[in-house]
Amino acid sequence: MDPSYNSKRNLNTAVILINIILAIIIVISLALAIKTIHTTGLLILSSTDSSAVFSVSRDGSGAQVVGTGSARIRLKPGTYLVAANNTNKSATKVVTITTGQTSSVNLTPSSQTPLSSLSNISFNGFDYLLSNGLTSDQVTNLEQLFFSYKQTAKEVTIDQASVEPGPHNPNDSNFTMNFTGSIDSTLYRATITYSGLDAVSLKLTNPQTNTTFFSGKITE
Amino acid sequence: MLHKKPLYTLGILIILLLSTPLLTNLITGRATTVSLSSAPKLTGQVAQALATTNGTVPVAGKDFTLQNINYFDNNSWVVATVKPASNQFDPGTVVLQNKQGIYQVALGPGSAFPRASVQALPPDVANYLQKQGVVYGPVIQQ
Repeated sequence: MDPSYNSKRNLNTAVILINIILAIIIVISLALAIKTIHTTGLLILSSTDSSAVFSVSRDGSGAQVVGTGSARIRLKPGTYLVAANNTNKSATKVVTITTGQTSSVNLTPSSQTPLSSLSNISFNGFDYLLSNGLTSDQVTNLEQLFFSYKQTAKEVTIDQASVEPGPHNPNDSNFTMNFTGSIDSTLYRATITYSGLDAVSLKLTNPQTNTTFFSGKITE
Repeated sequence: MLHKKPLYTLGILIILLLSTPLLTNLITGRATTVSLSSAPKLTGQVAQALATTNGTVPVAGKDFTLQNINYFDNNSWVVATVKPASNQFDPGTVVLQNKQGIYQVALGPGSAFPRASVQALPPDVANYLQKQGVVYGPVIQQ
């Protein structure tokens, strides 16, 4: 038999074998991809902060960084905690992943804390009290007293025009001051008594009915 | 001579093989599949709160451990101590709350908390933190 005929026949066989192997690889790859979309859900993460680092975790697992600024990931069904971090700011959101479905989360890191916090309240006009006899520690403690009255307040405002010192007994170390203002949209009248460097008490009353709705103090 | 059909088929399969990554990417929605490794409970959420400025998250067991884990109010609140394995960050206390079916960091991790922040916690949690000596600030009397 012609030797070149044998080598050509072997070559044809090799080409057919390679074709079969390539076909198997392609089919397996595509099958795995199809299996993935039938066993996972798609999560699209985005942020207005292009430097935000996204991470995900769930109960009983570690956390994994999945992208910066944006990410498209596939996760098994379940409840996950998504976090976006950038320097000292963060934001989190709980997301439930369902098989075959797409979830979108937009998260921008912020400095707000998850719990009610003094730092979430805007105190307006409090600096005016410094030029009327209070120390900075007393002003800070006054802010804490307002916070302890209403932890969910967004804005506490003092009407500077209403600030007036109360009568002072020279034999008494306490000073008093009266003013009006608002806590969010609720009007109040306040009487504060202060002494020393940081002691201060606060009494809040309804300006119309004169009913006291809060009284608290911080002593030295 | 070589048969042409197998050669044509080989050519087509090579093109398909080179296109397979693009095809699988399109099928999966251009998304990366993420598999989270198992870890002790709560450590994933704490790791996210400890994320560093360069974007890495510490690994439970390797970079830190959670100790002194105490549950409050029908397991809706947890207080734990974060102990680092190295000097990557300071040890501290962390408070987590169960919200929407998953524990989330509500306070910390930190070595001490201002009284104003602790006021928003349930009384038993606040008292526990007070006893641990991690609360500072003036006492408000009402």
